[in-house]
Amino acid sequence: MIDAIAFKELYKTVYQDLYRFALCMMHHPQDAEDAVSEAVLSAYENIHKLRKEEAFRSWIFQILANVCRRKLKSRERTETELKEDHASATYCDGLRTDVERAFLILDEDDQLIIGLSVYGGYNSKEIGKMLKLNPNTVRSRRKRALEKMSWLLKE
Amino acid sequence: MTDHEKEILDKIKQSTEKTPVPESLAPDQIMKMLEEHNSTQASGHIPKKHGFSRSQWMRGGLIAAALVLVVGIGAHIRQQNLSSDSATSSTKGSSSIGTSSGKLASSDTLETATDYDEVYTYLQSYQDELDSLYATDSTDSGIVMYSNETAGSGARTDSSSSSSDSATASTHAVDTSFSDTNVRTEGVGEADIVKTDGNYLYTLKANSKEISIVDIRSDQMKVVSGISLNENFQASEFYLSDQKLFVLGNMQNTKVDSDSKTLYRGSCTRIQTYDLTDINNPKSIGTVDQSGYYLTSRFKDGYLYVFSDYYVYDTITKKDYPSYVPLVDDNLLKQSDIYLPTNHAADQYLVVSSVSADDPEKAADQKAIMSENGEVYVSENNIYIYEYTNSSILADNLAAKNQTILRKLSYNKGKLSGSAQGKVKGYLNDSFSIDEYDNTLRLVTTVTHNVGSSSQSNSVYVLDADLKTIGKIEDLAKDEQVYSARFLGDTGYFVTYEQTDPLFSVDFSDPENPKILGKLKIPGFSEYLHFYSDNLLLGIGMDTDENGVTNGVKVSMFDISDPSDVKEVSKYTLDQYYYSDAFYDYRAALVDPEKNLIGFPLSGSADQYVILSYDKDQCFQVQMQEEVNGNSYLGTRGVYANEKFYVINGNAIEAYRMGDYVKIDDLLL
Repeated sequence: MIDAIAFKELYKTVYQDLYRFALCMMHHPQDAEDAVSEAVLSAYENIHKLRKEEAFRSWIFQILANVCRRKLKSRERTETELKEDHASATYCDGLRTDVERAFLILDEDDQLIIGLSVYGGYNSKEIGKMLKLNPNTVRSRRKRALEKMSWLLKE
Repeated sequence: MTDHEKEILDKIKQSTEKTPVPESLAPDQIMKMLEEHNSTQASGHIPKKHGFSRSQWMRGGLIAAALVLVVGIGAHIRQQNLSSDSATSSTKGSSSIGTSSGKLASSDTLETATDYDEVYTYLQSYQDELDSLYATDSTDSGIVMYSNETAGSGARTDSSSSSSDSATASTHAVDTSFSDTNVRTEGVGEADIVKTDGNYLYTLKANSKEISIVDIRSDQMKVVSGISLNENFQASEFYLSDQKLFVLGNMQNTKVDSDSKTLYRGSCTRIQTYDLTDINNPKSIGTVDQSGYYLTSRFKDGYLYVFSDYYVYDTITKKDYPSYVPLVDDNLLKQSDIYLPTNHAADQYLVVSSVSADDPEKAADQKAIMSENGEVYVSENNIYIYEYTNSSILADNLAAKNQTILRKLSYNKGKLSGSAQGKVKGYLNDSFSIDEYDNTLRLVTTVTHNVGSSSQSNSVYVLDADLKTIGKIEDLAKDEQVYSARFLGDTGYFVTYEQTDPLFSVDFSDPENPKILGKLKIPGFSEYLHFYSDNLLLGIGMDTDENGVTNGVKVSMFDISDPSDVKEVSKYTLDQYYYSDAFYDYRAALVDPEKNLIGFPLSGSADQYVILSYDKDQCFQVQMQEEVNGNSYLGTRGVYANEKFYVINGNAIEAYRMGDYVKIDDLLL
């Protein structure tokens, strides 16, 4: 059983990556912060279902990925305006502009695939299981997405 | 994953390392928030805003109520950077791996299994090693996944965007000619998301569940009928041949056989055939299922060859064969049809079956190769499966790292048979980097020298019919990597890139002594090469300046009349565009020298489709450059028929008159 103290210790090891992952997904500091808060709350309430501490990282990433997905879905209708809005704005606390742009050219699933690869350290099979995608699809989409992104990333 | 991909991932990670994390998410703050949440919940009050808004908290509550228990990723989860404790235990686990039991297949011969127990041993050792690597217990590590309806519906099972078939030729009277899918090997057809027979356009809609059939005989396009697939069937692509349409994709499927053994375990590859004799009423005439996710397929001489990747995820039970032996048509593959891995462990098969177009109700033949993330190149007579060992989850434990394992199967009229196995150093950029010619196999690879550093070079290999290396050139273009390659007869061309684009030409006329003939250095690089005539090679890629800064998508024409003195005779840069699907999927490109037509999609500030022409005097001319409407992830295709050009993306089709490229019609499906 993981108690509050253990939870805090586990959280400490991942929260920066969680936030950066959420930032890549949500493209907005406030939205990213909300997503992480929500995921943490949900994880905390369900911590009794996690039997092994070692699995904490992947478990909470999975929760966060789903929170981000749902939030993005609910704002899908205004996505185009949001993209334009975000693309033109620069946020002092947000992602570096080139990284922001590189994520914005991807569709949502590709953003998830890249975010989970970068911050979660997952391979294509694990991501396939999480997102209910064919691992081949994950691999080919990751390859293509990275190629697209590479030209927008500065050294 | 290639080293190049890893580099970009690292770059992204580094770029965000300094991004400040809001104070409210710091561990102390979060714990305070959680405590408050606990106490307010106990007292039944609505919590105060804390770090996130009240409406969000309420939504959070609703979601928590919708928590669903999902089977864990279990043993497959990589515990990267989790804690130093687990890292220690995984080191301990992996140290014993070298001595793991299980017969080591000799890497020179292609061996089949003698019984299922043997197959089981390989699969089980993989499971054991994973368990020791990640120190989580095996099948159910108790991971509860958070899921909700939205997340479920957002999931897709579409395959890598791929394209069409080719076998059908396109030489009718000039004005009724139509285009066919761009293929890897001339004469070997490939599936796609759009096909035409000149009279009708067939297109897979963005939902992957419907194929629309559109009459294009007049200027006004008209939907005549369509194929609606089973709601559990996600099509990836399809073929069109001789009034039949063959749909390939993934089917959610769990069957139970007479011994109450579970077949297919959730998902399989499906080949479903439709008769189009009555175009208004396509009729399903046969279905073949096989284990695994759909990977790719080919069509030749009236037979479909269908490849799938079968991952053995679930707990395997020695006597429950369907829990680990692949199936085709609900039948277990015979032991003698299963080829053993080159490593001592495996968790995956590449399954291939053949289906006759005249008898699409059953498979004609089938094989399975135990390999990890194998990819496929098909020549006129042989299937090559290539697998880069470094991408293996067990890479650290492989005796031989950083090499590509090759398996060769011959195919003829539906009959499949394993013939050889071999290996080369390095990895292949894509299937254009491997090419069979005159009983030899030529390969261009990029070799990483020190793991972790970016030190790399490139190699050329020539293998004989038994996949033994007979000729090679190594240590080419240090610190660069192959971006594209293409072979024509005795000559091969490949592009490497770091800052400039050396286009190498290689003479293979003496297979045992391949020779570099020339090296053309120009800024930028080509991602896709296509022969435009015997003397011209077209490159589609990126223009960059001397600092590697991108200027846009570039097309180049190379004069190869003297392979030892290749010249870039013309180039054209499309500013503001930094990507084309053609870089990654050759079927997105339409290159037709007879029609003098080079078409491909562009991505940048907008999605567009461009058509260029080329001639010696005028060089490249843009014939058309139009915005693509429609937003299908599946990709954009351009096809022509009856002197009209169609740009298709998902549910949107736009028709242009060839010549002046005036738009004449559009259709929303």
